[in-house]
Amino acid sequence: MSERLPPQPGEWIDRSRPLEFRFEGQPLRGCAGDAVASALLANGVRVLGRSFKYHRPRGLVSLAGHDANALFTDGARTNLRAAGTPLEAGMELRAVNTVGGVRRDRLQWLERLARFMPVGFYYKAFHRPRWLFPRFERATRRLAGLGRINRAAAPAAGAGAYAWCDVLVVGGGPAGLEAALAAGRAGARVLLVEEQARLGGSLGWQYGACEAARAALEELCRELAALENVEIRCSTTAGGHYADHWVPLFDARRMTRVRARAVVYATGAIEQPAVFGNNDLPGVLLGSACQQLVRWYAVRPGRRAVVLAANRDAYRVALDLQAAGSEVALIADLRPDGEPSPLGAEAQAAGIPVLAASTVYEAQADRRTGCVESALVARLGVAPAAGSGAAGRAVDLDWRARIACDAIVLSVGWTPNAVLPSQAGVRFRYDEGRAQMLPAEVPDGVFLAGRVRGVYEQEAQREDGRGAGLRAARAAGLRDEQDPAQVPVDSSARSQPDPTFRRPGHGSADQALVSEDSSASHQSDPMVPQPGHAHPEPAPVPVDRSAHSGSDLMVPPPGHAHPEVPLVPADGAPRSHPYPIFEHPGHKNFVDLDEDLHLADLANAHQEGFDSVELLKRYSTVGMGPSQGKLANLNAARVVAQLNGHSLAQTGTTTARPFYQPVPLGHLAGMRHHPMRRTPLHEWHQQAGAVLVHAGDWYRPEYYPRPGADRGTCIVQEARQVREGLGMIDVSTLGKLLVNGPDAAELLERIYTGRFKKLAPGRCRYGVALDESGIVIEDGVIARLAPDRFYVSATSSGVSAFYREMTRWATIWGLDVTLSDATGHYAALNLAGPHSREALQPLADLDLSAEAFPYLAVAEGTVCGVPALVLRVGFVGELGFEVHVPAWHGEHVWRTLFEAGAEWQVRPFGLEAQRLLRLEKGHLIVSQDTDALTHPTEVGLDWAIGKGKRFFVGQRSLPLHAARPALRTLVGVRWPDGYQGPLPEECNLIIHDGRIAGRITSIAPVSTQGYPLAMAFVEPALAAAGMRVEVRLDDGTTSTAEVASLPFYDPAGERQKL
Amino acid sequence: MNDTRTSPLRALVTAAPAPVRELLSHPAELVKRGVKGPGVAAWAQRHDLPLPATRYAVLPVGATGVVARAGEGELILECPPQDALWQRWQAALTEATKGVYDIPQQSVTLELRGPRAPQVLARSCAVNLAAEPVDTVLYTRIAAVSCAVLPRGAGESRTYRLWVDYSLAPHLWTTLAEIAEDL
Repeated sequence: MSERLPPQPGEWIDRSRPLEFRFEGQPLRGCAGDAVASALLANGVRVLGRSFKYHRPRGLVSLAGHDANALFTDGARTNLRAAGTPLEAGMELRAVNTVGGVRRDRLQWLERLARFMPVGFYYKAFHRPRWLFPRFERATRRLAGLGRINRAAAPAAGAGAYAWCDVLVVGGGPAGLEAALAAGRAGARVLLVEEQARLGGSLGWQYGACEAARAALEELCRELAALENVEIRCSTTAGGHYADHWVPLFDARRMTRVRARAVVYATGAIEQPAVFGNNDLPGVLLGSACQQLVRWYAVRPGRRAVVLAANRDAYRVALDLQAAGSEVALIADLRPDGEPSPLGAEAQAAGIPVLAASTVYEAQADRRTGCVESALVARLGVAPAAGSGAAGRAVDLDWRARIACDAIVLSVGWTPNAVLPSQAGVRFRYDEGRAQMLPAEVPDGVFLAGRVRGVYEQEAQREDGRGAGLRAARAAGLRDEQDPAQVPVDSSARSQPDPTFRRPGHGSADQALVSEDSSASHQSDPMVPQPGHAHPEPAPVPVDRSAHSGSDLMVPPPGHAHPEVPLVPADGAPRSHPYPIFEHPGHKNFVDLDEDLHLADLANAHQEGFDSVELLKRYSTVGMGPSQGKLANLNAARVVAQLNGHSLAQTGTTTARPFYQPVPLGHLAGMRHHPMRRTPLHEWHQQAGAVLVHAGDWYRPEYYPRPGADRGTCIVQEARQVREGLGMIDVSTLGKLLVNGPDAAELLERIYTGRFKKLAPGRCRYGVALDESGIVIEDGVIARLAPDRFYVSATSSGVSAFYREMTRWATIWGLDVTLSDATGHYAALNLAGPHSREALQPLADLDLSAEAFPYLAVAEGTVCGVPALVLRVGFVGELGFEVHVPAWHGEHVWRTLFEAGAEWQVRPFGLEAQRLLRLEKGHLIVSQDTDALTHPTEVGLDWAIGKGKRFFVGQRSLPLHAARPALRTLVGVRWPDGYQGPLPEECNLIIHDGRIAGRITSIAPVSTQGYPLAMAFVEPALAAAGMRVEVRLDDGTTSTAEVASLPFYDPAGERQKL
Repeated sequence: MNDTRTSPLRALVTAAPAPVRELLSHPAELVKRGVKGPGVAAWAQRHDLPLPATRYAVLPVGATGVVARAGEGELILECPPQDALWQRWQAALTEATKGVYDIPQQSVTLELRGPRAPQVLARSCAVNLAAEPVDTVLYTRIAAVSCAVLPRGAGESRTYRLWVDYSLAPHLWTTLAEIAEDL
């Protein structure tokens, strides 16, 4: 049955654009502009989901996106909120957390077990026997939950964005619109964000029946659209408030991080539900939701309604319902005297029955639909006393009436939407007289306007917004004519035109707001209305101005928190009932619909000692559902206060944390920024078919596949080619540091354990660096190019940290050195093998003979016509030359050398062959064969420590290590020749006498030596060559290996000195 | 020697669709040279080389070149190798001068231009680069990689020259191009 109303003034839907969709397989039709919730209700669908724990049927409660029981899955998307999700053609909606669909959910029997599932039962049950608990946990997680992630779905890849503005206004209701307008007119770059699809807030729904309000809204929107320095983003939620006014905004596509100079929160207030028996039935909903359904979406919330009232807003709701064609069967007013304003009389004049000092005691369900069928209304015996909770016990059951209805509409009070302001540092206090939280302290740069600070009447809200907007503009550095001495806070930041600025409607909603043209903003007087603007001079907000000068727009002195003085509405009537909670024993009286928590749960938790709101929250999970307690926290605090016999002010509330609304993880992740570095030879490797792997931040060739050869074979073939002929490897990833200056040698002498002051120009030396505690942190080759110039290599993954460490020490020591990290500026390649000299010599202008260029020599010259640095080093244990050339020329040099090497069947070798070759030579890799506790003695690097040196970093710690019993030693480990059995992986443990006695640090399953070999830490007692050790394999078995002397290959080091 | 240079972006630039090429360019013909040390300012003055007055200031040279003062004692020259300044700079470096060290500069230059450039940058960088003054060099991160940014020109002719490490240039190009196509 359609509940769509005839066209309503200001409705958001476009009736000319029908949209077909399906809900639980049922084909339905909505309109463009509909939310999912409104489209469903328009089609008469009232049961939208099942509850979290008991799987009770649930319907729409609010239209503010705070309903955790109206969540849907649509294809790859899940947990779509009914209220906040725009309807799209072709949607295939299904309620989350059901088995067999929302109407016949097979888990609804869980409610029958409610007595066995009291609050916190999962902390206590199924702990014995122990094997049962994991099964219980899995079952519980399966039964209670939200939507399931579709792992097959394509990841969201949209980039996040940044934006900058002077004034960020959060909330597009009357206060927010006025604030944005005032700040915009003052010349501020304003970003106005509104969670709903359109601007207006309460102007549109609460006052939508009033033609003047609609006209005011249109005028405000028109004026804002005329300001080029104001950007408006609807359907955008501010998710949190971080330091320095950093606010993340979420829209359908991405997160935008906004940095604002000042923020105005006009976030409004959240209508709060009442607690009574079965108050969760579909058909029990908030008054604001009713009005929004009618005004925005032209949907009738119910055909016959009972309104539970505690303020004047309820009467406006009742009148709107009646105007929409609903019968209002009764206004049950909690207050003893009903509504004193003209609205009360208007309702009565409209024929709406009003029963003062009464409440809805129980909602009763239709057995077939599970929705509201009637309301049990009872009189209240005594007037509710603020904060005492007495109202809850004041139900007079001697007078009861069952009133048939399909909607029970709640309008009993509000709480400020304080989530974001609280995160911004605003402190709220509970005002007993008005029965609601009000701001007490507001930090610099943050401003509140409208309902969030207790201003409810439309005109007062607008005035409040104007004041906040002006104050925010001033706080952002905008001047006004009365105070010409004021200048913008940061003129440099406003010196450029704004190339991306988009007027509302002229660009996509996610476009960045960046700086404006300073000349325009400075020439115009920001405090004078612009030509053509009819808006009157902003009226001062009615706060105490006596302490301020005439030119001061109530901006506090910089650096001081400004007190926010809550305004009292003109009529002074409180909008919130102090205790709208009426326990119905034997029924579930829900406090938190997200988590299926009812009054008895909170009372039980309290009885167990969780008597503060924070403790109660953790134990019971109240307020921990998707809505984060926006409809529950206040009533939960009221219950705790009542149980403790305290006031709500004494009780306090829980802490508000980001995010304001649930956000998709994909929005947080944003685009995949995972920068991988490519060497200058990357394309050559790709063309050569290399298998590329991630090695730290770099792509490196692991090996070069050959037809008919498996990975291991290829690796060994590449290694053999180096041992027997000629190989080339790209070593551009090596860290490369330039250390220049008169004190360069002094710095290196202090940084490394070895001696470098006397290192002759043209020579290289291996160096080891320690931290202050004597731990090995880095190694490399230090080449002296000139008395004051060194070229230092470092590990690929450690160079950045090592460069910072060097810079730090150079600064601390006050040395005259000039340091540069040249890692990315050089391509480097290594020609290795017996024929490397023959291959390189014709292309170099250096004498590379053994006599002129011996092992560990370094020289600057040209290679292949390119300036180059050539080092004779032997990491792989063969005659070899490292050639370093400017990165842009790397590919040319590589290609030229590779072509020249064809004579010796040159072959590229990859990372795995290099690891094998160095492992055969017993050369360690820092951070693979060492860890965060390794000192030089453990890994056989004593020889690299300069004896008698006056100082080097970590020197003083070495005697401490030496004085302790040795715990481990790095040794070689090998398996028998031709061994084909299972082998361990790196990090597998060595077991001796049933205890851990070491671990493998590097392993080569195949080698040029004909047997698998490895390096390992072992206990010193196991370190002697020939000792047999047991290495645990991944399957739990062990493999027997033998400790071997290092190196495995060419122990005399003759090959590299050819 | 310049015919031996290979840009890491050559394939990407060639394959880029027209909308990307309108936004993003790669002036591969420009070369860079760096000099660093406490004696750099005096060296530049002695050889009558352009010297930006303050740290992080940039001087335009020739039609497309710049000299950036990347630190108190660090200059980076970028220009076509045919420029006379390039030759003079090289010649000045051959003079042995205390406290002046030739530093390789092999970073890659990308340039963003046009009305969409600030939007692309706003999707990839936390700094409001559109508001940064011209003739400065700014060190920040774009698309998660470290970059030097040189805003140039004003209004519709404003461009953003990015210097990025050779090894990261393909990532930066690819990311900015993806963002541009997503706008």
